[in-house]
Formats: sequence, C-alpha cells, structure tokens
Amino acid sequence: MAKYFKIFGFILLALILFLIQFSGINSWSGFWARCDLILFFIIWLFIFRDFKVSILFSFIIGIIMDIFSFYPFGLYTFSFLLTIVLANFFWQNLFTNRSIYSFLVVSLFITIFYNLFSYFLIYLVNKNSLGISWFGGNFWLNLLLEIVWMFFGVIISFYFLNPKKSYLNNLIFEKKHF
Amino acid sequence: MDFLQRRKKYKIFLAVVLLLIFLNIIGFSSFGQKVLGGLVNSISSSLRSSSAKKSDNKATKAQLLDENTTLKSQIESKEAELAKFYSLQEENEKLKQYLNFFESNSYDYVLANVVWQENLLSFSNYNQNLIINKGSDDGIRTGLAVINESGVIVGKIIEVNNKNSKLCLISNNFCKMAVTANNSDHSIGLAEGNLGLSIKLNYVSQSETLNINDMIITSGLEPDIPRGLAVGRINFINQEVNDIWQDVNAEALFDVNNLSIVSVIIPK
Repeated sequence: MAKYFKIFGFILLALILFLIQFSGINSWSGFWARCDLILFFIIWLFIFRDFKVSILFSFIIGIIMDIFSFYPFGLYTFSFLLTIVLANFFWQNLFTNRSIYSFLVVSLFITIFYNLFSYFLIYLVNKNSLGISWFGGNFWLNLLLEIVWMFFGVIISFYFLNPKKSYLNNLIFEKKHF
Repeated sequence: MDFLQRRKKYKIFLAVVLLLIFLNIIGFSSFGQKVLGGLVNSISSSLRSSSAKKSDNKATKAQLLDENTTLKSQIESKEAELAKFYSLQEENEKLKQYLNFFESNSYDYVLANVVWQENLLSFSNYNQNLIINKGSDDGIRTGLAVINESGVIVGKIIEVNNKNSKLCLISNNFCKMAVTANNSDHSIGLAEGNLGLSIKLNYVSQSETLNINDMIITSGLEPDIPRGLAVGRINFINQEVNDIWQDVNAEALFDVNNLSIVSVIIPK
C-alpha cells in the first residue's frame, strides 16, 4: 500500500514541479529563467536518493511533459530514462568515490546529455524544426547558465540537503553504494 | 548474479520504450490532455500571469521616470493621430453611405489564455514560443494570426494539440508574415523577427519610399490572415546604393510580459 502512496505522491509532485517550471520559472527573465527545476530534482534523486527512485520519477514527469508537449509522445520520457540509465552506468563503473567532485561531474553529464539528446530528437522529429538552432549563440550560453544552476544546486544539496551523509563524511573516498 | 540483474534492468528499459511507442500509437497524449488539460491549464494561466508580472516589476526608479517621459510624448503624438483618425472615420462613413458599402465581417475570434511558454535553449526568454489553452477542439489550426487586446499582431499559430496551441512571436527569427507598409506606395514585404528584439521588413525594393514611424500592417496575402492588422512601426531604414532591397526595421507594438489573454482570428 505504501508503494502506491509513494507513486501517487510522485505524480502529485511531478504535476506541481511541471506547473512551477513551465508556468512560473519559464516566464522569468535572464539567468533565473535558465533554472531547470525538473532536471535538478531528477539529479538530486539520482545522487542523493536512489537510482530506482530517480528512474520512477523520470518516468512520471516524462509522461506528464509528453502529454502536454507538441512533439511525439515519449520524447521527453525516453530522453530522461536514457540519461539516467547512462548516468548510472558511468556512476557504477567509472567513479571510484562519492565526493562532491563526482557529484558535480555526474550532474554535468546529466545536464549536457539530456539537453543535447532531447534537442537532437526534437530536431529529428519536428517537421519544420522551428526554433531549433544549434549554433545561434544563445543555445550554448543558455546551456552554460543551466549548468551553473545545476552546480549551484548540487553544492547546496551536498552540504545542506543531503539526507544520507553528514558534513564530516565529505572526504570519504572509497566506493560506496547508496 | 550481477549480470542477470543488469539484464533485467535492460529488459525493463526496453519494455518502457515499447510501452511509450504503444501509448504514442493509441494516442495516449490526447486522452491525457482531456483528463489533465482543464486543471493544468487553469492553474497554469493564473501562475504564469502572476509570475510574468513579477518579473516585469524589476525596473528601477530612473527607468520608470524615463519610461514615463517617453509615454507622455507618445500620448501627445497619439492624440494627434487620433484626431486625424476621427476625421478619416467621418470621411469613411460618408463614403460608405455614398457607395452603399457593406462590409461583412468574415472572421471569428477565439479568446485564449497564455498558459506557459517554452524554454528552448536556442532563444532568449523574451523570445520563446507561447502556449495557449485553446486547441484544435476550439477550431484552431496552424497559420492563424494571434492578436492582443489592442488588436496588434502578436504572432502566428505554428502547432496545435487538442487542448493547446503553440504560437511563435512575430519578433522571432523564424516567424514570418506577409505585410504591407502604410506609406504612399503601399510597399509589400515579408516581416520576420530580428533576434527577438524587433521586426525586419524584407523584400522592399529601393524604389519604394518608406518613412520612419510608418505603420506595418498585414497585407492579406496569406489565406488565413486578414488585411489591416497592426504589426509594427518602422524605426530604422537604410538604403545602400548597391543593394536590391532596403534594410528596414520595425518595433513590435506589444510587450511579451503583458500577454496573458490573446485572441486567435479564425476565418469563417
């Protein structure tokens, strides 16, 4: 029963995040508009909670975004899932410690891969590709601003919103499964 | 054991991908929009309008004073224009009576709320496509003109769902519209956005005479867009001797932060 409550809670949370991101943050100006709350929450779940939880949440938020998007159904869900699966693969096989640097590199990978991959898919499937330009200057600048937001979020989370580690554990360098 | 676990993960991933394809085929998104559309659209529109207003309220005192002075001078010029329009209206009424002119209004309007805006990385935030809460169920289709409460062209519908539509702003680079200038030559051209900041008027030959402050209106050459809707006001003209076309720029007559309710013009 608790499992179903958890899923229902995730659906509700995903809807709230979707509304805040698309109707609120997207209409802010400049640097503030580049805060991707949805992607940040997925990264947070992946790093500080669990791979399975982040996959479940990615699936739910992806479905909600796909329902309201103008692109073929499944584009966002697939992008989120593939990003998290790949991030988990690298996390398990390449990273030897769980320091802040690893977290930053993983968040960097997720942000870049998700944005590039979803843009590539939109570019492929969108009939007229309106608004998709890779070399307009804005694209890379906005991606950089988004990465800055993610780094900021991960650093804050690492020190203040980390449910599994205390501040003194920051220098643990052996591989550890959360 | 670890290998088996990994294979299980890949199988689940494959199953999810197949599920997505299946949901796409059966049209799950339109079902989802029916279920969630009303709720999400109503919350989104109020959330967006409040957050857009907040982001717009960051001007300094000096900026506001400056804006106030500009607006005062604009009011004065508008009053002069208005007087001119009154006389023209009077003249028009008389001519209509003489010619027994009857103009049937062959257009419908659909009012819509702006519910959210896209956040594509390739645009600055004041240049993003907007999403409105009316879609194909309300008779909206691609290519229709979208105006604000003053009747000024805001953009054009580029994609349509059952419950929502996407519009590109006229100041967007890829948003193009057939227009004509309000000059003596009635120059015809193609308006397209200029970096999200202004509107560029293309294909106006060197022989045409344009003036600063001339209005740009829709030409009516596009089948679904009526003639005479205000698009912008010319604020820059450059004529190079060796060029075929003039370099003309116009300012957009709307503020994207004030866009909360728009109308879509539908031909009958």
